[in-house]
Amino acid sequence: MAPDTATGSSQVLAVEGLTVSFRAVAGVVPAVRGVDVTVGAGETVALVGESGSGKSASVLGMLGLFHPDSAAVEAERFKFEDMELSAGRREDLQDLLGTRIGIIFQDPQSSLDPTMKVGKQIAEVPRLRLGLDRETVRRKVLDSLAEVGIRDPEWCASAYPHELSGGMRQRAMIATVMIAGPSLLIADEPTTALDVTLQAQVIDLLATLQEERGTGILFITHDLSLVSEFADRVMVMYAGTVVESGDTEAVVNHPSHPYTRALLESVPRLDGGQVRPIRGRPPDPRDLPSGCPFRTRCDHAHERCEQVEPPTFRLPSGQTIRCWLGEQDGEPC
Amino acid sequence: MLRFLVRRMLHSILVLLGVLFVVHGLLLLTGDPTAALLPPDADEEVRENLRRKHGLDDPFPVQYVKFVGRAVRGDFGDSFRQARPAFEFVSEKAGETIKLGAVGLAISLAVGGPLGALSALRKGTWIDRTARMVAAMGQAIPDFWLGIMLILILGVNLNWLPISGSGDWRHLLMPGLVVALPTLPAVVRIYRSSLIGVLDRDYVRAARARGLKGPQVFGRHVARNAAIPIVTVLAFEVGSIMSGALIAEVIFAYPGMGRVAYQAIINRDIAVVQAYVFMVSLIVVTTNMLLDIAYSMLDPRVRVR
Repeated sequence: MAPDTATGSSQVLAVEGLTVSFRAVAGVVPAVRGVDVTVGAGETVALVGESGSGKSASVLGMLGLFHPDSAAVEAERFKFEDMELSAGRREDLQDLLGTRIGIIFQDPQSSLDPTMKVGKQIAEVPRLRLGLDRETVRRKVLDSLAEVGIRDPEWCASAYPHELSGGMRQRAMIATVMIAGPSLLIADEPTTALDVTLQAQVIDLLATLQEERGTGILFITHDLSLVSEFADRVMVMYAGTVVESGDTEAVVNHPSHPYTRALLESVPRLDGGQVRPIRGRPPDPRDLPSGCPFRTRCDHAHERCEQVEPPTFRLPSGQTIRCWLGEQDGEPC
Repeated sequence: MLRFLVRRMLHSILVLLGVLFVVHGLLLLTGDPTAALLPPDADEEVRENLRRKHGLDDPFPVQYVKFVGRAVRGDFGDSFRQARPAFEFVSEKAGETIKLGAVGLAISLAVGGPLGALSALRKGTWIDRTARMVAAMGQAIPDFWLGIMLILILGVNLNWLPISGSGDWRHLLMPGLVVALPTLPAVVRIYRSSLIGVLDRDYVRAARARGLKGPQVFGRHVARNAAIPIVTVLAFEVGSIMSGALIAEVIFAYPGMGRVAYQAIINRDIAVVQAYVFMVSLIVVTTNMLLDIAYSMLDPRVRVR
């Protein structure tokens, strides 16, 4: 590991101007339209949005996990650790995936091969990617299972996925991903398929692992309330762009983009505040409204929103928003 | 695993008892056996004697129980035509037929598997279209026609392969192809569609996200999971392989039990036919049991602990 990652100040991932377009029968579908993402060592960045907002497409796209025939990925800049790479190029990322970059997917049940013993799946990265010998791999597998809080690693390693409980499966999945000590962990809705108690446990586990190893985490979720306790920074995505971005505290306590506000109001709260669903539905990426893509659901929309898509403004409270409302107090950036 | 085997075996025995019931019924369905064995002008007394000798005058349930009692010892009585135990005719040739069936099965898997895989991995390309067309053609061609064409082209015109009899491996190729004919397209289509399904699974995406290379992902996570439905299909196909073997044996004068059965049917030698049907059922039931074991080895979720 590079010496400077331990200080927590260096950037693990820096992406600028990311676009992802899917090639569909009906034509090209722009799923991601210019997104900047940075993740520092030891930092947790949450990418929040409704389904179809482009959050998963951004991440899977830039890591080259879409078939090149089905998606076109481009970025002005794609930097991982000290390497300048081209976004979405499978050849560039092949060596990093599994070793330096780990990805946890939503459903631990379906992310593990049902016909292969759990231990053998965890062993794939050290065995096939790092080329370690059998005995070292065996020890590493048991260690990593113990590390993710599995009480009987021997048993778990020789079990098949269907023999584990839901929480154990997600822990095992985390072990497969963390075994090589990646510097960047992508978590794509890792707790959505789990019940609330398990959600908290998994998040605690990720936080602990992160603290020990200084891993940068990019956490994809649709649940803004989940993020508030866990993430350092939040990026809210809508229709393929980042509409609000900043420190978690600023975004959650002073949501400034109408969409972020609506998103926060749509979450049920313990203090009994009114739940207000967001009216309308996310726009079809093949047929985005003119100007600001959110204007059709926005209470503040005026004529200008219809004509020109707003640029990004930096607000005094620290975050940036992509909305004409930012023009008053904010600085264009 | 032992309990699973014992249960599976009891189940097989039940199936065989059912088969024996039908086999025994065959005898009654084909009319009065004495009409076939005695000259038309034989005395009624002679007929009675013959019926008594073969136990044909007992009530049906008694006949069935006696028949089962003898059948499990491999005793189907003597051939009506030649004074030899009927089962002997069949069992001495069973090995040849099993060999032919195994060759047919091996051809289906060895050709159909890669063809299905290629078709799935190159979905929508000319390779896929060609493979699927070959599969559809294979399903449409009648096996006896393929047999005759093979003899004509490979045997007579090109003189590459022997057209009849048995001996070395070259005698097995053409009849093996005929046996493989109905199963091969099924293997291609099933493997293709199950591969396409598996390639889309989350665990395959997760394996790619672990940085495994294409062939590693395929070999470790795709091929095996996609092969499970093939095992299911093969269980159905064993029967058609056996009937294909009969056709192939007749066309290529291959000395297996199918040819014996064919002769016996023409001669109305019911005892031999019964022994043949029983032997085929035994083979089908046994292979199904083996396939069940293979299934549980491929898919741990169905394994009984």
